[in-house]
Amino acid sequence: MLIKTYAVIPLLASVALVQSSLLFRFSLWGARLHLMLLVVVSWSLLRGAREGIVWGFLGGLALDFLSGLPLGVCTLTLTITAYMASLGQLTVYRTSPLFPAGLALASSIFHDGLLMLLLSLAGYALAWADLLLRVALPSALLGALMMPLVYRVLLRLHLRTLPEDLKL
Amino acid sequence: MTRMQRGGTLLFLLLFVSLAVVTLVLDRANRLQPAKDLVAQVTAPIQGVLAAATRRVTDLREFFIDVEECRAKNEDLQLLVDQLIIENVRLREAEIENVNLRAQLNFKQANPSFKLLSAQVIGRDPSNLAGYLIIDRGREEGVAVGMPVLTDRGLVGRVTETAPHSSKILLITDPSSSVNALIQESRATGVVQGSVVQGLVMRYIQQTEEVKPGDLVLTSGLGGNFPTRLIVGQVTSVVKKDVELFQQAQIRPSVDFGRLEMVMVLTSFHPIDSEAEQQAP
Repeated sequence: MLIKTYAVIPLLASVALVQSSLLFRFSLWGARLHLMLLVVVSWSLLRGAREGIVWGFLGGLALDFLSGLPLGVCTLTLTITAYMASLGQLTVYRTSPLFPAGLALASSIFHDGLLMLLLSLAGYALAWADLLLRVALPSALLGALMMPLVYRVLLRLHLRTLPEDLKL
Repeated sequence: MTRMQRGGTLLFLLLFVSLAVVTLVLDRANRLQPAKDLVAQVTAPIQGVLAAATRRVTDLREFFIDVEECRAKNEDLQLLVDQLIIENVRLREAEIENVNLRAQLNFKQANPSFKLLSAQVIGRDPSNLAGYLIIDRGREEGVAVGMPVLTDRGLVGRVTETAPHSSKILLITDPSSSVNALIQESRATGVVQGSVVQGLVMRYIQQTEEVKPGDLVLTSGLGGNFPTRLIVGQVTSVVKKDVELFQQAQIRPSVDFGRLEMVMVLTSFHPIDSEAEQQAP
């Protein structure tokens, strides 16, 4: 059974709500967990580009509705990040247990860099160096630390929703 | 992956990227406000419940310590102690709320000309890069774009977007925020801008003005975006270089933005829209 889009929407909406209302209270030396990014990157790695892109789009849209930023910015960023993360499927290192964490680190930095670029183009005044060093990098490290946990949960969902003919 | 499959995937990506860009364009043209209102109406109560459930848990370490403590007590003292803990937590919550409300009441009594609307913080910007809050009061309760938001300790920010029952607040610590301010003692004016590390910087202070650590910084009211004499923070250090036209000061905000639970919207203040006034005949 494939995960249908209508089932994904409440799931990603819940992740966005948790990120907006709960996770902002938990911080480790300024780093905050970007749960939606980890979910989308995990799914892209497990299911490939097409499902990753759909999850990135819907997840980004859910974040956009809760964000004060222009609607569409998170959508665009997370959709492209999902595609980039899905390229990890093509590498020989993907079987390594450390690979998801490394991919989360790279994806997080790419995502935040792209988001900052879009915001700069939209006319926002951003302190690039400070944001990268004090927000993006610590958050990317925290994301890499938490990725194995998120990936494990998504792996179980992936295995449970795999089409019968693809199961070993 | 064959070349054809790769091409198909890129087309798929292009389709969704185009959809995202269309969303961005429609939002810029303000065509998506009804959809945003609808989503805000659905999500605001859920965010309120989630925010209430975690209000006491303010950082990760505290959270784990609480869980460990609860588990140990649960083993030792079983049901009765559990009930007492729950009762205790409820009472502490009520006490904290009482303290917050008392502080707000004192502030209201000290500023009788202010018409203030209390609001609960129900969310934060999920992007980590921007300083926004979401509160549980919106258009229906009289909140409008531009209204200042404060606590009894000082200025928090201003309303940038409203939905029927929730609003988004741009914090003064966001790098895109600017507040015209003055130093209380010397009356030196400048502009307070946000910075990434939740601090504030006061720029454009004349070189001839005397500014020293410990000075209080208040809103000046210039520009008509904020009322006068709201506390912004306190000077912690001053950077004065002979080669520069202005000096600047590092400001410690009077409000602890990491622990904001309740705020007040100054509904009696309407900012002056200078652009609209200039265009008017």
